[in-house]
Amino acid sequence: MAKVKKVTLCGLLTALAVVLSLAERLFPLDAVVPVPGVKLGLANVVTLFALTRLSAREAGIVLLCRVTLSSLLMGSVTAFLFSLLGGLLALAVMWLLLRVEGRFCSLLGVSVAGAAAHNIGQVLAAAVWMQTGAVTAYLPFLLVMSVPLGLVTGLTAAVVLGHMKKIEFHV
Amino acid sequence: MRSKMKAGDLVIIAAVLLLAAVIAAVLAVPQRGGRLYAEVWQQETLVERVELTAGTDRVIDLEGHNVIVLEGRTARIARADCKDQVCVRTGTLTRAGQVAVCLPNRVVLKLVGDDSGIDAVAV
Repeated sequence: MAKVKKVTLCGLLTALAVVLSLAERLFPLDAVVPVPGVKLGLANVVTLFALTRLSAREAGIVLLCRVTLSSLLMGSVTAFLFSLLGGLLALAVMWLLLRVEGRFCSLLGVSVAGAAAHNIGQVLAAAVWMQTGAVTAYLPFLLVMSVPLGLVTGLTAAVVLGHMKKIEFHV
Repeated sequence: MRSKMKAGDLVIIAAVLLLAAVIAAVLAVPQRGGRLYAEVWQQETLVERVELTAGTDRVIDLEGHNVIVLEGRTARIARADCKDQVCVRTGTLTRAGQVAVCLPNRVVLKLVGDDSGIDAVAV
């Protein structure tokens, strides 16, 4: 694929990811599930898409831009660090699992593992930053929640990729 | 469709749930050995410091704003009059270094170990 096309696609994906993280804040998930910090993780769909359609490098760049931009728009320095570590861990786990996707597991499993990895990375960053292991108390709730939420984002990614195939979107 | 479930998906889901259960189980086991103190801070001042032993059974009522229950070697904020209830949802503290914070009332409940001092780092 032409370099310009690739850069453009990365820009579009970054914009989409930022909008998704802004939009999911409108959905008060922590009112339904009483755990602070629980969120849908729609931006993970973008990471998954970038990993399948582009490469780990591009997905990483999109992730870095997304985390930087959404932290500037609505977060803090600590939020930036937590999301970045969570995002990178999710990226690494999903990248590994995508190599066996289709044989061992489907996109749903990849997405669930990514959601779990994101939570682990986030809590790890929080534990190091705040110098306390007490935050790990949230981890069991977050991990249990990452199963249904990961399934939802995985299904979304599968649907999107299915449509991309239909319109013969090749990159 | 790439969302057709495969056996590996179930393995992944089971692994995530198992990890959650293991972490929850480890955290739920009260810390053994060593002295354990519960500290109650209000507006950045230490208002109460109680050693937690197996026989501890005490309720600390902070003028109705927060009710703290000390039971055996555990402590929890049982009630709060604020609307977010984050401190209540934090649940029961069992290990040195754990904290339950009520920001609206500026109340902090923390467990402190023997040698760890105020800024204890939990394992």
